[in-house]
Amino acid sequence: MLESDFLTNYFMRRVYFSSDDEDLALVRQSLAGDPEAFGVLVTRYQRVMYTVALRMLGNSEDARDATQEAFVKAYQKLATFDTSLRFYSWMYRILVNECLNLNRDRHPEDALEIDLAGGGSPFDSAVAEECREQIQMALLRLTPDYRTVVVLRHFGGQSYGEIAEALAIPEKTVKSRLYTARQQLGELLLGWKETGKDEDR
Amino acid sequence: MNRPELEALLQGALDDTLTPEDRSRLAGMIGESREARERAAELKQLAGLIDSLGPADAPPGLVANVLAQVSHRPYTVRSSTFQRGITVNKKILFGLAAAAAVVLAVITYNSNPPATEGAEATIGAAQRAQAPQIAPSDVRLGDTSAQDVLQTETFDAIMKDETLRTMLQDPNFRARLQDVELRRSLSDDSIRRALADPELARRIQDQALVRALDSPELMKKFDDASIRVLLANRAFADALRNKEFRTHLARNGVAAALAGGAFQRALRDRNFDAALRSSRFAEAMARGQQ
Repeated sequence: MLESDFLTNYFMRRVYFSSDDEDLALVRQSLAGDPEAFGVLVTRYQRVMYTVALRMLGNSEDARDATQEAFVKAYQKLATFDTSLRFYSWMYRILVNECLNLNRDRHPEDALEIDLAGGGSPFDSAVAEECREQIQMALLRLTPDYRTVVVLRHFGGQSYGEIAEALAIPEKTVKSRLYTARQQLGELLLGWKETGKDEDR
Repeated sequence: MNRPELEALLQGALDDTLTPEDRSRLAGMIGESREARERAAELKQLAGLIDSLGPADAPPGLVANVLAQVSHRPYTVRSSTFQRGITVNKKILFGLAAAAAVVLAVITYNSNPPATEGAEATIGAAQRAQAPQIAPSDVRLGDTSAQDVLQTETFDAIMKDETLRTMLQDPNFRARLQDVELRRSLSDDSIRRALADPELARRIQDQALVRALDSPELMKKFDDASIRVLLANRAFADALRNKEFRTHLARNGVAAALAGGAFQRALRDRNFDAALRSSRFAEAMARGQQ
């Protein structure tokens, strides 16, 4: 049944990250000169950071470069890390800036990379790939502000508060941007009727 | 029906931010209004499309590349921004540094070279104050967080569940659960339903499944609904490729215990990850008592 299915799927969905205290301990160890501690942080967050970069940029090579550079910059700035933030929120802030810098001079269509990997028949693969391509293209057509919140929410698993922290914007702005981003994606992907795009809805 | 309220509740439902009252209100709206049902279906479809892109595996060598670069780029410690837990000590140390400076000045002024034992100690403190880096010995990885878990009802529930406790005694299983993606998959509702399937334990040992794990073609042809759900989740499929993990799942009651309330509460506990890495947690699992 629709309502129970909807409620079950979305009320139960949660994303968990490692303990802030543990991340903080690893930051301290890194600052004390233990490079392996920073390696643990990179290992822990590389997948989710790379996923966010890939969805922000639509291109695996750029995503790899952005992720790598974000971690390097994080290490360089580690001593300035404000411990009132969560480590991964701080990492997201660095990564998003890196992605926006890389993306600044690009046209969305230039960035899109078609991933031909995957199983199934060639027909199934082609259909699935075309579908993924359209979704990624729709993400790239959002303005960076909207794309960032939707990517951090859906692929970074961040709460409103965490996104607000990462982007240094109010939670209210996160919610309104997320609403508008979803509305625009619905218009692009599912032909929803166009509505006003007022961020202060 | 209040359309802005419905929209706010539906967005909240997508983002898992609703209170029990909000959920009840939304359920009522969805039950009463066709428009609400249609809008819920639209949003569900959109969220499904977005999420279908799924996570991507980080490229091989990323960690090594980062570490290779950072090893050539020394960082500078600016302790003023790294405040937690050291602010008071820093003040004391700066005080000692000032005292040491006075002592040094007096010594120099009096041209009296032999420093006393007490002065050496003070100078040592001053030198430490000038290098405010935190020593490795200051770090107690995860101990506090692990302790937090040991004092919760979640932990009590695990201890009372013999199947869970036995499972968590295995260091390899605990290590596997440290994968944040796997923990995320275990809290997914569709995975939970698949794990609760009473036939799962038997099917998990099926050699056809083992073969399918290495073949995307075979994976797609698997006709068992529960297995298909598990294989569709990348993190869970990765875990299934490990023989020990499959053996655990095939044991009587383990899959159901993973889907059960006690373990799900543990997954929601932000300190569970630290507990999994903690020797105290491991000892408690082995002892069978807190």
